[in-house]
Amino acid sequence: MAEEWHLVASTDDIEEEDVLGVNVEGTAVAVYNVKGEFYATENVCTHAFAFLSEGIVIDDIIECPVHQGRFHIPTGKPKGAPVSVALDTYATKVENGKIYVRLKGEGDP
Amino acid sequence: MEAAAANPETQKLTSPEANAKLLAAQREIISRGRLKPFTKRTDRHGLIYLGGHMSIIFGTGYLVYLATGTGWLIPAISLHGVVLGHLFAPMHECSHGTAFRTRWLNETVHWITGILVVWPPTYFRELGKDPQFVLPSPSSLMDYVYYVTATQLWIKNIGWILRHSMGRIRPFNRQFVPEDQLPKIFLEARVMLAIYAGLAVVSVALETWAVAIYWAIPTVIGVPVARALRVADHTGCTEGKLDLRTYARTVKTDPLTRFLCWNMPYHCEHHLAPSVPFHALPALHAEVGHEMNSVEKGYWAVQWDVLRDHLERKFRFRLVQSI
Repeated sequence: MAEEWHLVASTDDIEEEDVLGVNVEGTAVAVYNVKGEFYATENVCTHAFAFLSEGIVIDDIIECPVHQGRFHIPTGKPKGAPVSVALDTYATKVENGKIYVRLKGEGDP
Repeated sequence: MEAAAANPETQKLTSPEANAKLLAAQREIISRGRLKPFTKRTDRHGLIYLGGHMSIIFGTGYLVYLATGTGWLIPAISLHGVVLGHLFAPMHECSHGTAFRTRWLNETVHWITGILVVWPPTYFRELGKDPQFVLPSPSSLMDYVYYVTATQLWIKNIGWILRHSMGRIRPFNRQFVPEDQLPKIFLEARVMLAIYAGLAVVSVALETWAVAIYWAIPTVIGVPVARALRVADHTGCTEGKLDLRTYARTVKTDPLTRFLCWNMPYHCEHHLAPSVPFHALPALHAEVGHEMNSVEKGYWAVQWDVLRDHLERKFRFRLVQSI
């Protein structure tokens, strides 16, 4: 599959220590600003299916708004109960103040 | 993606649609932008409250020591028990991960307070998905007595610990626990049981009543007070309906009670946004409290209202039905 980057937001759209929910080709994606670095994961919590973009960013952790489950943003790994299943993470790049996301599989050899 | 639960009722509560509705209900009252400043986590507030709570426990424990052998022993143990019983508040706050910014600190306090108030901490966190669990709302006078004396709590909690320590779990409760959390919950019960058994063995071996006098007996005496406050936080509210303004009850009370409850009397605000840490609840109340179900008359009056209005009304309703 050809590498496909999707424009999702401007860097100004997401404050530091914050998250924005976007829709990329029908996939709910959460885009994070962690100390000026931008990351993307799936937007739906693996525990009780809430939108993580409604949650709280604490350093490099996203906390689900419903049961306060926590995930490590750069890797998607769960950080203890009640969450136990990792989030999918997506590649990001920033060009000219614009944030791009590449969905899983896109651009893979 | 992992299945959240097998029970259709639970799936209703944990589905994307249910969570979207819950958040939409929150947004009707406060936008994410307005809410965000209240969600900031700190270690400082938790450490101040924990230090204060522990200092009071040591103080009332010292009163028990001074009262031993005198007629003041029962009042001293009762007072000590009320303070110990309120350790449910930090255990509950830590279950949300909001008491401390530093996660290990939060988890350590969650565990220690869970052991002291005999609530399995990891299991407590999982059961937050069960609406009947989070709403201690008696529906009859007998039910009220059952809750407020903490009889229900001891039967339920000790039953959980014993059952889980044997690697078993009730089917109803099982639906709230993801598969990979079961080993943790069983291990947690075994560790708790080992600690309690160890304390009993040491007490017998050393021929000391210290554990009984400074922890076990006061806790049994004091926990009902904390239970009564939690019943007042919910009973007669719009249980099961998704109106976050009236889902619980915020009770204006004295500063000492607020302190020992880690601000849980701002209960309507807590259910509006569980991600808001306890120390920010008074500020959140100042922001949205005018829209919430707040009562000014204190916990004693609310207990009376619960008994008179809610339970009496339900009793009459049942009586009419039976006729």
